[in-house]
Amino acid sequence: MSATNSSQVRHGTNGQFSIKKHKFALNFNSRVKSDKAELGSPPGYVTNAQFNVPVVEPSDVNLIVKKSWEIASGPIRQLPMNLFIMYMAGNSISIFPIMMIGMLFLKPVKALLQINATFKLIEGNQSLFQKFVYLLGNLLCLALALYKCQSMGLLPIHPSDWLDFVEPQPRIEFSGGSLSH
Amino acid sequence: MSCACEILRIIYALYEDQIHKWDWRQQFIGIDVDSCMRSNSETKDLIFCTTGETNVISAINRKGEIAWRNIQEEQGRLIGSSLHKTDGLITVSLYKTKNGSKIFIRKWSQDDYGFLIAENSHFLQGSQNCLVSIDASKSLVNVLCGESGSQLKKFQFLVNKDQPNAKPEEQEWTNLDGSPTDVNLENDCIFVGVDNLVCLTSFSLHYIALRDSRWSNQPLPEALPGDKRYVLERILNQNGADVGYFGLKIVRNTKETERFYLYKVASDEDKSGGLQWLTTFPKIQKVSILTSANEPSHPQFYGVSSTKTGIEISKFGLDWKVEKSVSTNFDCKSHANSLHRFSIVQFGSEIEFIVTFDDQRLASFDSKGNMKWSREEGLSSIIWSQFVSLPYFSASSAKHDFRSPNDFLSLSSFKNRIYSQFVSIQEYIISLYESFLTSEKKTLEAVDEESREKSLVSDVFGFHKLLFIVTKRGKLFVLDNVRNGKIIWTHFDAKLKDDIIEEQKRIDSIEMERGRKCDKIPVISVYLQRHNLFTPKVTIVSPKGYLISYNPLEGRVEDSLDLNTRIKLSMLMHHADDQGIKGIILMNEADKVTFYPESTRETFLSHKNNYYMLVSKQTSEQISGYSLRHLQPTSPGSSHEDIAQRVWSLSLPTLIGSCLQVGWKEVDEHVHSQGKVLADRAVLYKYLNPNLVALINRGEESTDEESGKINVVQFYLLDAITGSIYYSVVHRRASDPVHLVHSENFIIYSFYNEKQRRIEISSLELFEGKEMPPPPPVRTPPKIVEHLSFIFPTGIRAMRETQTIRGITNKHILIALTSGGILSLPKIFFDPRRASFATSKYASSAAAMEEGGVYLPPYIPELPIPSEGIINYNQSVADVNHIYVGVSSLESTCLLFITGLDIYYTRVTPSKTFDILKDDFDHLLIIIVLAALLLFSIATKYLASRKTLNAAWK
Amino acid sequence: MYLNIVIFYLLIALTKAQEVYQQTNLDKLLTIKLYHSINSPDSYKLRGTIIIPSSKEKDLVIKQDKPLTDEEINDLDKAARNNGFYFLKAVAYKSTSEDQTKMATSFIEACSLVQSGLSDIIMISLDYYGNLIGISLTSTNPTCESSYFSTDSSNKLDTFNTTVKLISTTLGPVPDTLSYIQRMEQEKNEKLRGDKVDNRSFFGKYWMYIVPVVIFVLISNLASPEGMEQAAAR
Repeated sequence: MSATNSSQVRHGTNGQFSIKKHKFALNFNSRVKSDKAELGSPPGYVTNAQFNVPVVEPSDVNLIVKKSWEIASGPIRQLPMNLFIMYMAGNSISIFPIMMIGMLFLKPVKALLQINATFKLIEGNQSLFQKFVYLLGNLLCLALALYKCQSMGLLPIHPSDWLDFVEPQPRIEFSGGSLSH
Repeated sequence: MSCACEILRIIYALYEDQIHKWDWRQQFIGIDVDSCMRSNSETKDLIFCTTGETNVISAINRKGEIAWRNIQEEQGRLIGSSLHKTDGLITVSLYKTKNGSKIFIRKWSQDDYGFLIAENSHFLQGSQNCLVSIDASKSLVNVLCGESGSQLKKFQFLVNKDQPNAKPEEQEWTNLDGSPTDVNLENDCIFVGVDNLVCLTSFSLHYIALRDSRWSNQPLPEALPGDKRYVLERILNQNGADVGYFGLKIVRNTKETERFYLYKVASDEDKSGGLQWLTTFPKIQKVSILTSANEPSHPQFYGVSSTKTGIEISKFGLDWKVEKSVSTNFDCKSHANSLHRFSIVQFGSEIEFIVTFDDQRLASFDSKGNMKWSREEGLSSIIWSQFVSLPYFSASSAKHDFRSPNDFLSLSSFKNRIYSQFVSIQEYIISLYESFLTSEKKTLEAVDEESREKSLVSDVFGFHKLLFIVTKRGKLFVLDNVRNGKIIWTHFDAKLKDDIIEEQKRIDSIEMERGRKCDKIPVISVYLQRHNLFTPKVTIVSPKGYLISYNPLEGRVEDSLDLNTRIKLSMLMHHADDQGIKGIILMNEADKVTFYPESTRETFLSHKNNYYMLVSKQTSEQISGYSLRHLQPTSPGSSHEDIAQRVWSLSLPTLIGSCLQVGWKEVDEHVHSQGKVLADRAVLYKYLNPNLVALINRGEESTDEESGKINVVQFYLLDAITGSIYYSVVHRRASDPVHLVHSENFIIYSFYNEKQRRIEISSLELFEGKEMPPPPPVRTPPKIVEHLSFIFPTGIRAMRETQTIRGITNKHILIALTSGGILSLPKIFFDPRRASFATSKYASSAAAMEEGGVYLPPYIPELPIPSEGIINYNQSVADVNHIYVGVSSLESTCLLFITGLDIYYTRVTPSKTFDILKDDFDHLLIIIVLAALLLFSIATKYLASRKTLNAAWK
Repeated sequence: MYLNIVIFYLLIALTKAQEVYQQTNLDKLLTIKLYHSINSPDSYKLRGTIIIPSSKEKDLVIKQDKPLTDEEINDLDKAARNNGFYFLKAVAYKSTSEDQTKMATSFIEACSLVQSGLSDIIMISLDYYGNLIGISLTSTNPTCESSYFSTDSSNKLDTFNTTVKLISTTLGPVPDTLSYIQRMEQEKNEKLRGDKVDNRSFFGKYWMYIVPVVIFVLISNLASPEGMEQAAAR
């Protein structure tokens, strides 16, 4: 049970119970006493409340576009830093460069997996372009990671990487013989 | 460079407690015992034994162990030995070549150390047959040499340490009257006394007293039918001295003695002269005399004869009647009961009989006929050995039908498997229980004998194997490779022995005619026909067409067969039939092909037209290839016929006294990697043609007019199917000894460089290039042949590569040095790919040649002999002839069996034991650490959850 | 010591020169007569002649004028269908003495020869003095396809289209002590040179470490005002 949840409980039940001794308290008995046939509304839930939907104003549109741009260009802006880190990491295969590469891969892949959620955040009239930029940025990050792998020699693109899978040649003709006197 | 060596270093050090941990050595005195004599040493009771063919002088203590051993020239033969009471042991050896012979006369001290006291040698022109008679009391050695009965030369040496290499007194006889024609001094004559020569021809007995210079003859006691013949026998006393007696015995072809005629040569005083027949013993094979210092004129005669169940030793009285006889019994199938030598030794009043049997078993019997000790000297003349795997549980529990390995998939086989595994677990538990109960009660020996069959069980890693051995004297041995080479089974086959000896004699006579000795290659062929765990089958094929099938696990002869035809070539088929037996293809001189066993012909027919044979003779330049064909009947009457059709032939350049050597790859060799990874991560594909053969021919080149005759070593790579020579190279001014290793895609051979007077090793590696080779049946030559030579600082006696079960482990090259060490050098030292780097800028930097994480050390012309690479540390192995390798079930470990005069077994791990925990691995510690970690993690989990809960309440 | 090395070099150079001399001197004209036989290694008929004037492949002369007779073509076709062999025999004559001959035989699967349209490759191995050791025969189509015979194409089996390859024997490599000694000398010299003081400037030596640090500082300086702004905005 998280702290926020419990605090909600506290606020939600403010009118019904009085808490004196403890800062936190949960009353589980209330559940038993209440009517079993119908579940009560969750605490703090107002059944027919009117939400105040803010009206979109023209000044806010610019703000939204700006915010969206920020989201969209995030991956690209990370790129130079990543480049630099990777340059510093070097091409030797040891634990730290490997971890860095792992991070480098993980970030864009995660972002690409959650791309729909991110796209919902991007709004405005330039959203299509922004989405594209976001995608491109992530793909570039991925490409950088791949490039790094390649330069570290981790990609199986050489024939030697597949050598173990080469089957020995079948033998069709058989020969033999021994030296006689 | 040093860092590269550091990486390659395999064995860091050997601690004292590791000696004999997994290796063992057995030492021998050699085969063909000449005589055994009691030493006059004060401190120890030693028996001196001299061996003819191996040319070794040794002393054996009364437990049958070697006290000391002196190994003489390997090519020489010991022809006589005699002991003087106070002075020492005199031995005479002869070293024969076509152009000259050399006699070595040596005197050894009689103490516990066997020092060389005096030495004398003499050179004779031409190949000579010599007989020797030693008068130890005067330190006189008479050597009688000659090529026929009419041309004789006597050399009288006085062995004296003050006059080394004193000229012998020579005496020569030419055109002796009435000399027997057509006698070979060595085979048909014996030297009796100081100057009496007795020769045997098919009609009469010839005799000459050299002081008379006149031959006289005497008819043989009786005429013999065709299957019997006469043999002359020397009769010596307990000191190896000849006191004027000799024997003439009648032998049947079955080697059984019928009659033994005892003769005496009249001594100087007795003017009547000639040969004097004394008596006839029935059935006696060997006679020996015991003389005493008090009564020199009345020697005691002892005779030995073989019975159906062993041997019988008889003492004869003055009236030639059997005074006393003892008999001793042993298993005559396992051991020979025919005799090779018989001598008497005397320890005070005690008499011991030292008997050498035809299978070269040396045994000592006391006067009651009890065997005191025995030595299997045959093991010093191994001509073939093979590792045979053991089953994982004892053979007795596998009696139920678990013998068809090919139907893996059938349900019954699966059930069998499960059942046998269950039985083995059950047995294991029972054995654990038993050992718990009877831990102290039984001695190790008793357990050994009792559970011989039970102990024939493999260990988890497959280190425990059987060593199947065939010796030069036709005896088969099965040794246990882990229990210090304990003999498990033996089997003696007289027919096999005769075949081998006859064939060896034929080869020797060919070699003597040509004036050049070639490497000894086994005269018989041995094939592991069935590699089954429970019923392995080894078949021996003698060149005269005699076949024996043997089950080394049960020590049982399965089949023996005499084809009565000379076998030109035999070859193991690559396909097994449904019994798991690989057939042997036998080709006779008329190119007719038969199969053994007959049933495997069906298997051949399903693979017909794909079998080829390479026919080559050791002494011929002609090489030809045959295709095995199954001919359809041409006319309705004729039957189906399998023939070998000659499809190609070639002739190597003619050399005088040539010796050919053929290097095949191991048939079932596993090559794990099909290529080599280069520094740029490209792949250089290996050339792995299974039919590639390396040929080395050597001899004197005769075509070169300018520089006269020079010795050359020619090297060829040949495809055994098509007969095409893919690569050929000649080393001029190079000669014996040549050793050859052929495995995977590399060939390594060594030879002697006469010009620089050093041993050189040449190494080849063959590659297909960077593209994948086309699949068979396309036959392509290797695209890249890298060839590089090295200097090797010492002599080489044998060379071999390590083999592992999957071929993943790096290869090492095993080299038996003349000093008795076995060197294990990483293959990378021989890498010839540096030949192409040699001129490039990379030549000096090792780092530039990184290959798959392996640094290629820079080329150094002289190969190192790192002392940590000597795998037998101080256990020198004398006169190594061959290195046999076997695989264990562990990829990292390769089993070695080294044979020569000594035998030595060890195992090597070329890439270290990467797949096994070290012996000193602390299991307890790791368990404690693991348990502690587990507890710790559980505890932390609990603590962490509590902490989060507490944090949540805040 | 230097004198020793010089003498050593001279000796090696001399032996090398001698070897080269021998190798070129002993090249003599070699004439090889080819005989062939279909399906049985008994009835050989003359097929052609190869003249080898030197060990270079380009100097070869191949004479194969006689086309195959119809009967032979038929035989060959039959052999090809029945898994038969085509045999080739080479008899070599040295130009100096006619009687000094060497002989070698070889074979090929008849179908392989037929399917390649009689274009075969003959490998001739020669020894160190240019004498014949052996020959071997392959064709441009080493695999046999059974489907080939469904279409009748025996009409083009008329003349041989032969390629000849020479494999000559060379002298074996000797342990290369010369270049090893040279290399050791070189390494020794390098070591001597390496002992000299590296008198490049500080920046000259360590620029590769300094530049990244500078760039990093620059980038962080550039980035930090923006970051500050962002932080402030939040």
